[in-house]
Amino acid sequence: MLRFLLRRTISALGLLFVVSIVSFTLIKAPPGDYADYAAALARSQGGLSYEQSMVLRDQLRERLGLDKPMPQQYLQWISGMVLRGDFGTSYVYNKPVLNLLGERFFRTLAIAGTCHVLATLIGVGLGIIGAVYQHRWGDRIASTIAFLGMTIPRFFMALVILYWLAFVIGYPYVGAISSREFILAPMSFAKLWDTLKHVWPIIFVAAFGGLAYNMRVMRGNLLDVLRQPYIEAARAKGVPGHKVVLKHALPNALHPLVMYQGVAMPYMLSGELEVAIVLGIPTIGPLMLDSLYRNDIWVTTTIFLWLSTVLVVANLLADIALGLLDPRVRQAGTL
Amino acid sequence: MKILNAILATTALAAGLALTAAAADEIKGPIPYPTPKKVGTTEPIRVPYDKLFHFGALPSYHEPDWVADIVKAGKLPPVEQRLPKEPLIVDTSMTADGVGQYGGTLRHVIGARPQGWNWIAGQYQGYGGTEHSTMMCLVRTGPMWMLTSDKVEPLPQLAKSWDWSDDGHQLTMHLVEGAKWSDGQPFSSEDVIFSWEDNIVDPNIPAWAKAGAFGEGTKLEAIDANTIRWTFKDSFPVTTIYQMALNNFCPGPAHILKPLHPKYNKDATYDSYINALKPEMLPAVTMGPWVPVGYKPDEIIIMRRNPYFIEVDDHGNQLPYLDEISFKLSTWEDRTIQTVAGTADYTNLEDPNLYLESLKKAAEPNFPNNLYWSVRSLSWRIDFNLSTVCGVDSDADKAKRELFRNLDFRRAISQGVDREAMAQALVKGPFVAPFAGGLHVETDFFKPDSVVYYPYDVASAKALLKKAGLEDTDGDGIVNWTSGPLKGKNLEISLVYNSSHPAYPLLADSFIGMMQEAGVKILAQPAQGAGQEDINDTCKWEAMLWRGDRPFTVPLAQLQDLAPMSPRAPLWHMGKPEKPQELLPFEKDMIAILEKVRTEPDGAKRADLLNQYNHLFTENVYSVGLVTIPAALIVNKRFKDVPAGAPVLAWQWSEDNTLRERFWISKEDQAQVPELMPGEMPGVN
Repeated sequence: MLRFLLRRTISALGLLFVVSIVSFTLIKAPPGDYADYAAALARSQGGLSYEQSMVLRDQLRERLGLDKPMPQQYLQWISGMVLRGDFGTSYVYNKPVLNLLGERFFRTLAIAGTCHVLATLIGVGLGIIGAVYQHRWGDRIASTIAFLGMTIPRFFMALVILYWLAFVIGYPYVGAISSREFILAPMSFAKLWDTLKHVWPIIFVAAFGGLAYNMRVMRGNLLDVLRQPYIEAARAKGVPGHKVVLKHALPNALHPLVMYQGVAMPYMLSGELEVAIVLGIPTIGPLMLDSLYRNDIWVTTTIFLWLSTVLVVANLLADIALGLLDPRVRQAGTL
Repeated sequence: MKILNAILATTALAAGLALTAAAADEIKGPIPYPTPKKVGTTEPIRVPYDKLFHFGALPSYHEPDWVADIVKAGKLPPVEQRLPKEPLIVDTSMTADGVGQYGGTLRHVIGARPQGWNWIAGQYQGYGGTEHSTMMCLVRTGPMWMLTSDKVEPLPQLAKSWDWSDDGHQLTMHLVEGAKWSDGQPFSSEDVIFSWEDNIVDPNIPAWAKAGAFGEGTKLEAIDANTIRWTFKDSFPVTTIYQMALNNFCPGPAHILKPLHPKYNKDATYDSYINALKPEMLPAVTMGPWVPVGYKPDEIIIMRRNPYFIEVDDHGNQLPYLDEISFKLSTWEDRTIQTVAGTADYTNLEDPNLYLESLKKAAEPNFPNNLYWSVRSLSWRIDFNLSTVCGVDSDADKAKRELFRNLDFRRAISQGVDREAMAQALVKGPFVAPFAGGLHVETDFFKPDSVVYYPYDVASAKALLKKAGLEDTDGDGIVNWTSGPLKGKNLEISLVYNSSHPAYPLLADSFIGMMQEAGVKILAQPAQGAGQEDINDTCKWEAMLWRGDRPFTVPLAQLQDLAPMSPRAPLWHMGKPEKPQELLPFEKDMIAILEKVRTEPDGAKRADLLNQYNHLFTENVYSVGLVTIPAALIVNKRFKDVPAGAPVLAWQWSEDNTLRERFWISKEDQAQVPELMPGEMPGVN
């Protein structure tokens, strides 16, 4: 197990290093930088003339080191990260990237985690219903829900919900993580409930989109397992139907879903990302889009690294979970 | 007989063809500009200059009851001692709702984030009204739109009055006496000189304005604690006073910042100085009506009334009326959504796609807001790159630039645009009006006869293209070059436009379609953000669709952006520092006019000069104007004294134009939105 973990960690570090170079290069490739954005902002919001804004731009470029060669900028950033845990500074927010991501990290994880858990539980539940009541009403309803979840784009769902909430019913809990009166208040049940009133559209849309895959995989696998001879034997022995499904069939049908958890987490994050952008909730998703638009380069590269890390770690945990679940995997020496 | 008939028929046919050809080559000349009707039914209330703002002493002063309680408790000096000897008196007699009542809160939503409170070192506080809430400057330009036409000049703020020397080379400014920062420390010329010498002039500080913005070689000195003197190289550079407003010259607190500046502190660096006042360091020290006292990253900034604010109303009530304003940290788009939903109080409406929907909503009885339409202060135009020295990398570039510099070509494009149709495609109804280019029409100096307006006529456009040496030689509907390195090829011009604003692609599509009809192929080149900045800077563009605002509504604010008065402007005719622009003859005349404007002290003469400039601009189709639109404010119905007709953008953004320190909410409406930090007094509790 230890050897497995070590091997996977080393390969993960190599992968992350490559991701950092690729993301940095891609982000720097198009013309323009943060100083250009700041100059445009100074003109439109601050009333500076074009010439004044160019002076500001040149000064900023020099002060922030944006006029240095690309490899030098990259090496400075990567060495700061490795040696000092310094992921660079956000030019837009004027604070360390780590602080900035830290402020949003837990709420992003909480929302994405909730979406993921709900998508998994509801998806698995619908899959069981679909398999047990194959070709009957239960199966049709579950399949319809899955079909809608897979085909309707999440951002579209988010836009429709946003329009309906803001313009049709005048819902007062739109576009923030909490209401004004709770912003400065300490955590409490009232504040939690208020937060839920704000973020339920994200959870709804991301979970709805995510449950479809779980449902279809669960249904297909369970149908296969339910046709196995040992299941027939269990039924013949008089084991109750629900025990046949939940105790004998379900554990064997879960393997692909367990493997899927490794890729599902970043997928959930991306689903949350689209919806959070539309709804204006301050999580990592809108921050990433914003940083791309404003050339806040260290925020973008750090988020890419972070997402890659989540993917790698989630896959590793999925592998371990599978080994724990299935003794055949352990005996095969994979772990 | 038959032969005679044949001859007659042939002759008639030939004559007809000749007439058709002549008609086809006939170019329709200028017509009177179709001046549009103003939008909105409420006429703005205009106030004479000395009535709107003036400094003076009043027999008594007043403050909110809860502030008086803090004074009674000995935690704050009495209001008479907190105010200057002669406070700045703001008129309420000529407002819609009169004298205000204390209390209540205003909820803003903004899309930017505060960098810190060191504005004099170039940091921004989040825009969207944050700067206007905290900063005071030497003069104030935002409310100038309210002034009666007899005197439209910068209003006093920290400089209460100013006089020119006889030779016009010196301007003496008298600062407000006895003013204090929000922490009770005195404001004086030391703050002004520190801001000038150690920030604006210091090349290591990215201050908003550098010294050159006030004229090359300009000097500033303190005469005494309440007097400063400018010395200029030019005589009477009157328009420089307009530069002493937001964001250019708004002094910072020297007593806080000097000890942090590397010139006075050997342990400080420029980086540590610039970032010395982080957003978390509260309360910030300001001279504005409100003081930042609460901040949660990505969530909110909360500001409370400044107990030392220098303004009072004409009844002696210390302003602001509102005890609190807050800025929810979100996105600019969310600002409109929140305001329409009733969870925010204030937004600018600038996207024409939303106008009709907003009007429908405003007609609903439970809509929480009022709509305040303003003048047409926004416009769109097409610029052609006139530079022969910047971004010219090939013979093809050179040929195109020469074509763009040909008036026949520019006029052809102008007469190929059906502005009425474009306006209706953008927004149906009376909002959008045709625009000839140049200065905006709904300004206090504009005269309709300054505009040379070329009417829409496709035949004229084609005839002008022919005059410019372009003809459809291959019969594909697109004109071809008839000489030069591109001879025989179709005329194809790339059009750069900002793809992130919804109106741009719509206008670009309209324009492309109209040009196709005239015989010019336009290739769309959407860009955004830093990408567009790079295109601007390297001049690697052929045609560009722009939105025009400030320089064309208030040209005195940005004269240098209106003609090639320096190598880096205007955007559509840039040079390089080592190689300035090759001027067109009319540009030389424009520059001469604008130089006169810069040093003309008489307002009426300046207006006349600007109309002369506009005549040259439109006669020579310096830009191809498309359409002009009004903007609107959407403000929650709780608020009174929101001035009708306030421009969304003129000298400043609307947050300054509307005099928010004069907004008030009646007592019975204040409970609808409770304050977040009731009773909080900056620096006291």
